[in-house]
Amino acid sequence: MGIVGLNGKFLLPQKYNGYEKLNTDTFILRYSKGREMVFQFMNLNNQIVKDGEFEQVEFVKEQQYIIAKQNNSVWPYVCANIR
Amino acid sequence: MVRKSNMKSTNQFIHVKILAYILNFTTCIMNKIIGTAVLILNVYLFGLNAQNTLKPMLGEDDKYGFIDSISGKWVIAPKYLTAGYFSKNGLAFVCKTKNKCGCIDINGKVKIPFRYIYDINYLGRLKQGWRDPRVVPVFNDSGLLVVNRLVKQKKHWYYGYGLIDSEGKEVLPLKYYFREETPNYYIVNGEEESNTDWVL
Repeated sequence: MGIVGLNGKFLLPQKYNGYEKLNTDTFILRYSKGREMVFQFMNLNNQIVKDGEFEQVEFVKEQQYIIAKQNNSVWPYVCANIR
Repeated sequence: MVRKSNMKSTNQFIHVKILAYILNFTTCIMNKIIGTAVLILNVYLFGLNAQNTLKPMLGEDDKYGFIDSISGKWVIAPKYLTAGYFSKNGLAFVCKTKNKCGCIDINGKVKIPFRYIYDINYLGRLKQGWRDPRVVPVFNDSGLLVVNRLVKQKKHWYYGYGLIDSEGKEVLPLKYYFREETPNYYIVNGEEESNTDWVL
């Protein structure tokens, strides 16, 4: 999947295979990297908004927090900070 | 003496007459200029008004046409299976059948040929009633319209979605599936991708 702007141009390239909207212009996107699936926090300007790639991402506590795993470390993020 | 006085008054009369002619001529020219300006303004306003006041409406034969919402009169006769609202560019998406959709202008003239498909399963159309004008596509703020057509790739046929402009030119090729439409962007899948929804 990818994200297309109203002008018909791709805002985010067609390389993702899953997404979760955090707000109107921030997404968690999933894509394949070799045999692994990785996650990225991206905005509609195709910019990474949080610390590169993650191996696993989960919502916790009624979607107020995100637990993201990166290089065997687990990072809790407050959704409001990402949003 | 009397003759000189007469001549003088005759000259004055001629001068006044010439002045009157000039004034009359100038007034005529001014009137024509103002008239033309008013005419252009009227056409412009009429165009905008027509686009804003024409509403899709179901007629007696269970076909959609367009009425002038002020006068209540039919402006475009009801002959379409479904019809959407007029966009800012003065075009409305209409369908003769589910497989023959295109765009008409405020006079009912075909502007984009009837070569697109109306997919009744598209993004919750069935839920609202697929013939409801509110679920028929309109041009977005960039002047583009989501349309679809049956396209073939690697021996199999599928509904390919894309974006066209008001001339019917494909700005985004008709080969995607639109998973989601928002006022700011579209989330699209390629044909080869699965449509499995994914949530965290």
